[in-house]
Amino acid sequence: MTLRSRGRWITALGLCLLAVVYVRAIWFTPIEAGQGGAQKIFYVHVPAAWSFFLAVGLVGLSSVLYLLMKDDRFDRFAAASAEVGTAFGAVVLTTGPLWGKPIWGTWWTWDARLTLTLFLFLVLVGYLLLRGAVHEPGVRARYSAVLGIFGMVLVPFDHISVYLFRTLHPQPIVLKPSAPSLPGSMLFTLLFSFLTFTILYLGFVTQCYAAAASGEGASNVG
Amino acid sequence: MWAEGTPATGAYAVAAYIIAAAILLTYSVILYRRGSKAP
Repeated sequence: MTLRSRGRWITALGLCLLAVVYVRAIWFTPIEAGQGGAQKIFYVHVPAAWSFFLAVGLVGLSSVLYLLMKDDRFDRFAAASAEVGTAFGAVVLTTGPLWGKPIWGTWWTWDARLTLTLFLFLVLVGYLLLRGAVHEPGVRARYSAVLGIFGMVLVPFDHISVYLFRTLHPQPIVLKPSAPSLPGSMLFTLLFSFLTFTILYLGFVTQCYAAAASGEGASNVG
Repeated sequence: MWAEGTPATGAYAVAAYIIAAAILLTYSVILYRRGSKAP
């Protein structure tokens, strides 16, 4: 089985599991009394944020490895992960305001978490624009690696920004030092969604990498 | 299913689910088509 078809199968599995997540979240997970139905946005928003951070983290890690080893495969993987990260970032930045409007009374507020997440998304967009603008492969890989590492450094800062600053954004309820503070059925749906979004990330990045490796999409992905 | 006093905010969740699915499905199609063009 080629890398491309492997990526397609993983993506197809991820999309099927996403349908299961929707069914489970809508019909088989209790409604939170304080927020109503809008709380269910959480089962898409938080796992999408996880995949977004995972993508940015792996862009940075691959960039470090590229600078150390000068192996084009790391550069290609970083480019693929950055592109996939923008898709998950778009999900995070559209579903978040849809939760904020009914719960906070506003679509957007310039607090630390939201602003940093938007900035991180724009770093990824800038990363892709940079790759499109520089044509010499070695220079492109080196410049974009520096930007990729910068993005990776921002990820933990974004995650702990809710502790460092006074912010409207809720604090982590799963990825935190103490035990997750969610009822069992909600936690199961959330963890299942985390798994689904991780599989989707793997499927997307495999396809994107395979397309770049075979030469197609070189202008976009490198 | 709905407890007394629970806010009726489900429409926002429906919109979020539709938008998330649209983004992910569109990106899946883009990747599929890009892969199909590859040699």
